[in-house]
Amino acid sequence: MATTNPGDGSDRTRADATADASARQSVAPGWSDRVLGVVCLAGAIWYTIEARTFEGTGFGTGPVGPKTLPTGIGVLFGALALVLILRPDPAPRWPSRTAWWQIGVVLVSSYVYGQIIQPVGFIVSSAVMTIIMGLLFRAPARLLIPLSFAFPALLAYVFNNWLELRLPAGWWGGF
Amino acid sequence: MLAFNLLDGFSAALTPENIALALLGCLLGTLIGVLPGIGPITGVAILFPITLSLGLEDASTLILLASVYYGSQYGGSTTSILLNVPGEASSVVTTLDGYQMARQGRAGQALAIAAIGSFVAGTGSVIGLMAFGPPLSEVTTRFQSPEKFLVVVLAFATVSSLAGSNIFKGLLAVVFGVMLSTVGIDLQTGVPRYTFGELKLQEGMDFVVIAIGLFAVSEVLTLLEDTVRGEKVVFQKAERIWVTFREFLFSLGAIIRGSVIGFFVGLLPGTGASVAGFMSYGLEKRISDVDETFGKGDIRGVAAPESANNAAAGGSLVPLLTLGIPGSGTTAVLLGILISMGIRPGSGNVFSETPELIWTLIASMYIGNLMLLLLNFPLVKVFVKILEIPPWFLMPMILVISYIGVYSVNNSGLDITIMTLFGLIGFLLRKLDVPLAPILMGLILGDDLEQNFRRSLVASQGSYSTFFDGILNVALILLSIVVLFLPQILSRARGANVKDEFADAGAEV
Repeated sequence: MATTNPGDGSDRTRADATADASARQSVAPGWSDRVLGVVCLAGAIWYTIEARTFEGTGFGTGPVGPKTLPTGIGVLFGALALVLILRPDPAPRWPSRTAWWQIGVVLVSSYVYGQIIQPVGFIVSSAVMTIIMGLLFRAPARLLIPLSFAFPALLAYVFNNWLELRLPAGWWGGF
Repeated sequence: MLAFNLLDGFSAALTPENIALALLGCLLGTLIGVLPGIGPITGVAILFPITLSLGLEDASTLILLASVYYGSQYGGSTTSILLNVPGEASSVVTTLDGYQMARQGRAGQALAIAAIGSFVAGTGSVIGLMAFGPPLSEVTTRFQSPEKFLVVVLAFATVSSLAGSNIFKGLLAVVFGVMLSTVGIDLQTGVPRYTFGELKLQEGMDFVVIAIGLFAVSEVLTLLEDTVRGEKVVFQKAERIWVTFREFLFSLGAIIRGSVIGFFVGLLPGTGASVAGFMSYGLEKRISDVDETFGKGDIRGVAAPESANNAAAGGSLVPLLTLGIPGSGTTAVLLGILISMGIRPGSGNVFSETPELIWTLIASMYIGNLMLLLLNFPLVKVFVKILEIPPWFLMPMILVISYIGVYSVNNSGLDITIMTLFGLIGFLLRKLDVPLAPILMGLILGDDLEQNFRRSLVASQGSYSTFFDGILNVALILLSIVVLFLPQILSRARGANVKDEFADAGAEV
């Protein structure tokens, strides 16, 4: 239930304590960081090549155009990626296969949510999303289904009527 | 003159509407801090677009969001004490004595002293801010483009160094953020960059969408993983929710020492509230721990770090408001919000250009402190009840509220796709110990970096030596290098023994 702030570093203390355990668990220490490094390096190469194609025309170009800074940071990003590949940290403890599967379900439904929110509407798409999430978090079905519709409906009412937001109503209509 | 400006700030902040907003902000903030799954960054990022829809004035928006920020810090301390789960990195050290007190049924005293210490520290840091802010801000008016460029570099050095054990990962994150900031139409030439021909991407990446993805969605994914693993939390009941005058006097020394250390640590860019907490706890232990009661539920072990992290939050407003250098992820989001309101600290003297907003912001943080003090004692039991909301209801609700926040930015489904993608990226990077706040910083300040870079080179007709001209530039470059390595040196020299003790205590629990 930790709400540790990942932007700050102090959850390191706990990470240190489990570092040994995770090092033992992982197949090869440093493998994870190397993959990240390779992905970043590929990204850096693509980003830098792409940057070379930006040509400012005529006015406002000056001595440095739209490609100078992106080229610089692309190269820097690549260099940092190389550091990761050459000096990786021990691998973390990765989710189990079940957890990956569930994370995948959340991501796919979240993507689908973005696609259907306008045609289907906020209330229905949120209710479906809530039911899927609730099942993953092992909700009792008897409570889950009514709550999944009630809460988004309440939110839609509050946001549309009191806060001047326009949440999409969709086929079924809304408030 | 300065005091007068603060009074102006108070009179602007003390309208009935603004007091109501501050109250709402503190309540929402504490709720956010207490709830698992949403920290201060997420809270402020989700609420910002929703706040815009209220059609408030800028000052009122700032008041609401600053109160949320303060409230969520306090809510984080609440869970440290009651559950041994630090809500924010800065309240990690509070768990040492706070949770021990809670186990002995003294949670109420711990919560009370945390609130009182925070209030005293908040008062001190407002005074400090009035003393240091305006003169430092005056210096920035002399900055030309090269200096402004180097100040952004300093901000990046700062945020990468505070973020984690591996500086290279911090730098990688910052550079990734800058790369994201280059997406969209180039302002000077109108050339589209990295838009994949997508019209929507021409406007660039919205930091709110990225922030919610990186922090809220990835937190939901992390909690889902924990649920699969079958991890659960139990908590203790609090009995007396107040301190006696004697207990207050007993802790007063710790509160004052914590406040002073906290403020000055907060001033140093890049050290942040968590370092302040650890340092003041270490010092307090050295001074006061004659009977070896620290780590076993000594009230001063809560008072010192809680005062220090609050004072550091105030102290970190000095580099934030004068140079535009945020000391934490949450202040980075606050900076993004200020920039979107057209206030650009570091690029001009915000104390003389937009005094109303800045002093109102400072006054409102102070009012937030007072409100938390008054609000939390009657409501602690309610907040504790909130922890009993089952995750199967809470997690989907966090996602749905995130969707509203993201959707209301541009009324676009594509933003939800981007948010989802960054949720996955955030989850993976968190696993790999790559800090997320620097990504946000790079995105928020990347445009400034590039514009000042290009302006400098236009002025110097393409000569890069312009960045090394003059003592100020050299000083900024040297400071960036120092800042990048300072926390490493500090934590090796001072924090190491405190952290060892923490590890011991953690192992024992």
